[in-house]
Amino acid sequence: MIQVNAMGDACPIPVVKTKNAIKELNGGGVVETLVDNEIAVQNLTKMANQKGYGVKSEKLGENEYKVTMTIGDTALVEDEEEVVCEVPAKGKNVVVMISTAQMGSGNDELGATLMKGFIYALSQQESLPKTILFYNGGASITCEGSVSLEDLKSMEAQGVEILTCGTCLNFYGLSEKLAVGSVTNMYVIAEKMTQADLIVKP
Amino acid sequence: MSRQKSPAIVLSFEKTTDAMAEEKYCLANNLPGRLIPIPREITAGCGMAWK
Repeated sequence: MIQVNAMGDACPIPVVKTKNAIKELNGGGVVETLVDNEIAVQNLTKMANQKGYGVKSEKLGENEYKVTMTIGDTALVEDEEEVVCEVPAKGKNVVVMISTAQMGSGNDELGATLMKGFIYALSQQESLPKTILFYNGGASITCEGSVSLEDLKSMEAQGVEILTCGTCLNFYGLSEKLAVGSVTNMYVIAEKMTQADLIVKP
Repeated sequence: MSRQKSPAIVLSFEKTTDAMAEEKYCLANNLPGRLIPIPREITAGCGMAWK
């Protein structure tokens, strides 16, 4: 058994140190890595899962975690791929603005298909946006009869804020038809946009 | 955040317009499924698929 101390090391160091220790095993065995943050635990777990190693992790204390990997005798260790450092997206304020019912311009039927596909693909991302704003032609997407309701409801259930412009709902006669999220006004829309770290507009 | 992944059958099409026509047909005939962007595992190209 080899123990790796990666306390205080930033990604990708814990993964690199652990990989080196696994090489030193020259076959099967156990490698224990000590790290001080949750992201390192996730990165190590991901690496172990990719390589097919047994892996378990435990929290030893405040800012102290132990990740234990069990490497089989036949495990392949030679392949070298890049270590991906995942930046926690939790703090990043991503706002998606949907201003039309179609994605892009050219053909409206294709545009509607693309928008539906975009919202589905958005709902499948590892890290979801914080807020999705719907206005003007986009307002119909949050209303009864929209093909994207299921995807939007699933995102809302995971904490995504879904806001539709009230002026727009009123203009299109959709005020009673809102089926997901809540109604908002221009002050909130302006605030969400100006406070965003990243604005995504399909 | 990790999502629950479950097996699904996905139909791919040669043309986007074929996928859109198939969607129209399935909706008109109450057939189950939905149009989604074709998963990356199937092709790196841009297209739609029926799930």
